[in-house]
Amino acid sequence: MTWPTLKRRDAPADVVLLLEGTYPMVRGGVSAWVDQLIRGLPALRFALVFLGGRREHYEGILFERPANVVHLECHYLIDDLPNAKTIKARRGKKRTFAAVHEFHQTLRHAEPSEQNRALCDMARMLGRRGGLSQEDFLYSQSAWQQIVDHYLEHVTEPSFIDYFWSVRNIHAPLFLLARIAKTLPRGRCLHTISTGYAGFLGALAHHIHHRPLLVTEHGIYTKERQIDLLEAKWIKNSTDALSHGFQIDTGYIRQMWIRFFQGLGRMAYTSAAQITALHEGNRLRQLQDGAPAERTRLIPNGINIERFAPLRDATAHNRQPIVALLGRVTPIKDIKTFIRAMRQLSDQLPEAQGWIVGPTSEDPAYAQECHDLVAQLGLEDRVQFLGFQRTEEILAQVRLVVLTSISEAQPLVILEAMAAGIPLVCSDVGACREMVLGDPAAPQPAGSIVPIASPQATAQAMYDLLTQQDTWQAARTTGIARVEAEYTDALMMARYQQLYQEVIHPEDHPHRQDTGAPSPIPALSTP
Amino acid sequence: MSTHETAARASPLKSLPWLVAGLLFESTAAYPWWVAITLPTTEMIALHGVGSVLLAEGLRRALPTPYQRPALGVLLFFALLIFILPAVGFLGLAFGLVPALYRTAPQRASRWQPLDLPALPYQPMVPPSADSVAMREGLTSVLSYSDNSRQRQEAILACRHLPRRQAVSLLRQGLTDPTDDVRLLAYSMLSGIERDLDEQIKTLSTARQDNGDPFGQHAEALAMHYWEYDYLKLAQGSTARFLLNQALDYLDQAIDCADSAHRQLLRGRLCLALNDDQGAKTAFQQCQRLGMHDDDLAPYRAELAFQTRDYASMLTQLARLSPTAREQPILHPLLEYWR
Repeated sequence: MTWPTLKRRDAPADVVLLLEGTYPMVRGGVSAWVDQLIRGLPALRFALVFLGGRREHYEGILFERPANVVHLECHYLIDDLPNAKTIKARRGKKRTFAAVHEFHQTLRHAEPSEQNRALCDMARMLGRRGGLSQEDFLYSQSAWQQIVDHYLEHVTEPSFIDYFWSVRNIHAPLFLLARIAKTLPRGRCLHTISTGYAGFLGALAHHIHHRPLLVTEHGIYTKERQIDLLEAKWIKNSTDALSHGFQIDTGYIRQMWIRFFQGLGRMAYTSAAQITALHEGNRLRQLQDGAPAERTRLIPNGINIERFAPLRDATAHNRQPIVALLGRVTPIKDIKTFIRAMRQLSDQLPEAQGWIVGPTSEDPAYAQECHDLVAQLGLEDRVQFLGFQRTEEILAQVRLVVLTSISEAQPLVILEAMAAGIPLVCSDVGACREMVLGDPAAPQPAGSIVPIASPQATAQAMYDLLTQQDTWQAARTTGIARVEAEYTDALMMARYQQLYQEVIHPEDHPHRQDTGAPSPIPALSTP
Repeated sequence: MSTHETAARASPLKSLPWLVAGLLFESTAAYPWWVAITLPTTEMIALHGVGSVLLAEGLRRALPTPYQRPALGVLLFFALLIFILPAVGFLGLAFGLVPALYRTAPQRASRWQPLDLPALPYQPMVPPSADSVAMREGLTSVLSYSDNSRQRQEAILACRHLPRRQAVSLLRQGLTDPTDDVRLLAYSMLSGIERDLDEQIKTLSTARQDNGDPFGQHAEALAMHYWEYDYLKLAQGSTARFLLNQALDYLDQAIDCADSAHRQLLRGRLCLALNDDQGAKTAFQQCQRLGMHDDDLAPYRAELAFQTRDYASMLTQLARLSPTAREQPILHPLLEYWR
C-alpha cells in the first residue's frame, strides 16, 4: 500500500506526528501505541514525519496504513552528507559566529531561563538566510577558529582531533532538521513522541510556523541517551597511567554529548504547550529535566480490551508451563536475564519452556549474544526465539508472561497479558509495580515484581506462579479486573482527543489558556 | 607526503589560456607601434592594459599554490609591473620570479613532524578530596547512605577502576538503587563485564574448533573463563553451578591432554566452589604429587580443611607456609587470627 503526501491545496492535517526511530519503520511498544492512537481517533487527520539514522537500518514500512493518515515523509539523519561541490573555503560571517560564541557563554554562565531562551534563539538561526548555514559551520574559517579557541579555553583531556570531529558530528543533524522544519507538512498542531531530535524538530517547527507543540514521552529520552553515552565504546576514555583509582570523570566528550541531548530536551519542553507522561515517576523526571510543572499531565496507556478478552477461555485451561517474554530482542529488554532465569527454572521445573517473541533485527549483535547464551547454558531445547508473532496467538498458548526490562515506562504487553487473563512476572521499572500490584497501600497482585537483572528472583517468581494454582488464579482475576477498570483505550483516546482539542482550539478551553496555551517565550516571537 | 607536494604545485595548463590571451592582446597593441614608431594611442594603451591583466592572471596561476593568495594583491602587483615595464616586466616575472618562487616554496613534508604520545598526563592530576565520603568510608557507604543520586552514580562510575571482583559486588548493589539512572548505569557496566567474558569464551571455542587443542591450552582457558562467572559472582544459584560444571568438564579435557600441577590446583578450586570436598582433596593431592610448592598449595588445602570443619588439619596446613609466604599482606592477618 502506498502512503500519501499532503499536497499544497489539501486541507492541513490536524496533527503532525514527529516520530524518531519508531512507527512505521520499527516494531515495538511505542510503534504499537502510535498505530493505536491514529486508529483510535479516526476523525483526526494525521501527517507523519519519521526520523531515522541510516536508510539501510530499516526494512521499510512495517504497518498497514490507517485511513486517516494523510502524509508520510521519512528522513535519515546520518545520510545527510553535504554535496561535494559545496566544499570550498569560506570565511564565515563574523556576526553569526559572535552570536554563536555568546550562546555558548550563556549556556555556561546564565540562569536556566536565559539558557532556554538562548537555545531557542540559536535554533532559529540554523539554516536561515543570514543565519548560520551548514556550509559555514562545516567549512568556514570562522567556524574553525571558534572550535580552536573553544578547545584551547575549555576542553580538558581529549585530543583536538577527537574534539573537532565530535563537534561536527554532534551538530551535523541539526541543519537537516532545520530544513525539514521549514518544509514540514501543514498541520494544526505538532505532536512529538520523544524529545531528542524529534523534539528539537518540533520546537523548531513551533517557532517557525507558530503551531502548538505537544510532547509525549514513553521512556525518558535524555535519561536513556545518557546511559548509552556513559558506556559508549566509540568514545575514547582518557587513559592516564598515573590516574588514581577513584577517578569519576566521565570525560569531556561524553559530557559534551550528554549536555547536547539535555539541551535538546529542554528546548522541546520549553516550546511545548503540553507535555504528557505515562506515569508519575516519569513526570517527576521531566520536571527535573526542565519541564514546566503547569504544562505536564499524565495520560496512561490503554488497550482495546475486546481484542484480548476472547482469549480468556483458552488461557484459563492452559496447563503447560510455557512462559513468554514479548519484546524486541534488545539490551534494554534484558533478554539475557530471562535466559539465565530459564536456566534456573528448568532445574526446578524441567518441563518449563521459554519463548522469546519479538524481532531480532534491531540489534543483531545482541540477538546473536542471546543465542550464544542459550547454547552456553545448554537451553537449546527449552528456550526458543520465535521472532515477531501476533500477540493474541502467543498469549492464547502461554501460562505466564515475563518482562525483564531494565527500563520501561508503561509497557503495553503487561496490559495485554492482564486483559487475556495471564499473570505476570515483571522487573521493578517504570510503572510496572503499580500496574502489577495496584495501589501500594493495599496491593492486589496480578503477578510478581522482581528486582532488575536478577535471574534468581525471576526464576523463583516464575516457579511460584507456575506451581501454585491458587496464586495463579488470584493473579489472573485481579489482572482482568484492573485492566478493565483503569486501562481501557476508550479512556486513553478520550484524554488525547481532549488534549488535541485544547491545543488546536484554545479559545474553547479558556481555563487551560493560562497554563498550557501555546506560549512561545517573548524573545522567540520576535523575528 | 608525495600527494601533498604535488598538490602544492600549480598546473601550468591552468595558466596557459590566460597567457595566450594576454599575449594576443599585447601583440595587437604592439604591432602598430612596431610598424611605425610613434607615441602610443589611447587604444594601444587600453589593449596593453587588458593584456597586462590577462598575463598577470596567467602568471599568478603559474605560481606555487602558497603564493597564489591573496589573489587580488598578487594580480595587481603583477599587472602593474607588466603594464609599467612592457615586455621586460613580463619576461622578468615569467623567467625570474616564478621559477625562483618554485625553488623557495616551502616543502609540505617539512611541516609534519611525528611525535610520540607524551609520557606524562596531559593535565595535572587532581587528587581526590580526603573529605569526600568515598575516601573516608568507601564506595559501598556512598551507595548505601548517600541521598544524592549524582554521588551514587559517581560511585558506580568509580567502579571502572576497581578490580573486577570488587567492582561486581558494588555494581550488584547499584542494581537495587531507587534511582533509575544509577540502576541503569550499574546494569550497563555489569553487562559490559559479562559481554567481555562471553566474547572471550566464544573466541576460544571457535579457535579450539578450527585449530584443535592437542595440549589442552584452549580447554584450560575456557575452564578459567567459565569459572570466572562464579569467581566474580556474575552468575548465581543453579546457573553458577551449571557454569562451574562446564568449567570442570573443560578442565578435565585439558588434564586428559596434559596433566599439570596448576591444572590440578584449578580443579581443586572448582571442586571447592562446587562443595565437592572429596574431589578437591584428590586434586590437591595430585598437585602435591606433581611437585607444587607448599606456599602455593597450603592456603587452598587450609581452605578445604576450614570448609570441612577440620580445624586441626587447617592449622597444620597453615604451618607449612614459609616465612616469606607468611608475610604476604593477604595471608598475614589470617595467620595472625589463627595463631
